[in-house]
Amino acid sequence: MDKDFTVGQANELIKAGRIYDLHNCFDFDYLTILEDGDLRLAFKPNASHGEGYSPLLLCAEGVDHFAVSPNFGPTTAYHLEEIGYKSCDDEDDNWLLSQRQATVADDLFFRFNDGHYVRFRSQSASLIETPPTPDSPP
Amino acid sequence: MGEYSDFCCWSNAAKTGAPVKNLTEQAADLVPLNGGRNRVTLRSPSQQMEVDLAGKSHGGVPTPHTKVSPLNPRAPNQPAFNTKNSPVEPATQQDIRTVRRYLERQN
Repeated sequence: MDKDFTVGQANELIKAGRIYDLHNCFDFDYLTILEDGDLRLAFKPNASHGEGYSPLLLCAEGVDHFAVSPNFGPTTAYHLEEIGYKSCDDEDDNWLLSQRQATVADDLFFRFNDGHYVRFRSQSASLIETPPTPDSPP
Repeated sequence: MGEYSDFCCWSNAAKTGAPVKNLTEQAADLVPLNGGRNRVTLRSPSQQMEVDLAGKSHGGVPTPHTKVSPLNPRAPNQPAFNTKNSPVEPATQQDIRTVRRYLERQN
């Protein structure tokens, strides 16, 4: 997977030296699967702890492996627990691979509360800051 | 031991007139020492402790809070820690003290 970001500690994505603390400072917004199979995973700054951040859109294109936990609702108010990697044939998600341990063939794995998850592998993935919405924190 | 240490901390603060800070304030004060990051991840041969100094509540537990995950020695990639079902717990004074010492050594 060709990405323009890395996973820092399990709560963070890092792009161009900027740390996005998705666990502590953002709320999960939505997951969208486009007609061509591409994915969009959106996070918005938390009202109390997201000051200085813009909404984030993770764009995955050329998805060749994708899975979500049973009954995952794409707009339910999930809380992101951690981010890591998993070999695409490994269903044991008790533990995740770190950035240092992962290879380009591994899934990117987003763990949410109550055992929910989103995992995928794609040709490319990019992290984009989107314009703030009216209800975003300053 | 923890209670005794806490008493000493309070006692010294009282002697010097310095304001006594609660755990939330103490933890927030450590974020700049951590390069602005909210989390500190500490590892030992048997477990991993993630300490969120500031940020959102998780599992109904406000920050600062901790998550301790045991090593999974059978995982093919080491070190691996079973983080899935590890509970989030309120940070203690000793946890904050440990993080402070760790960050002081790093800086």
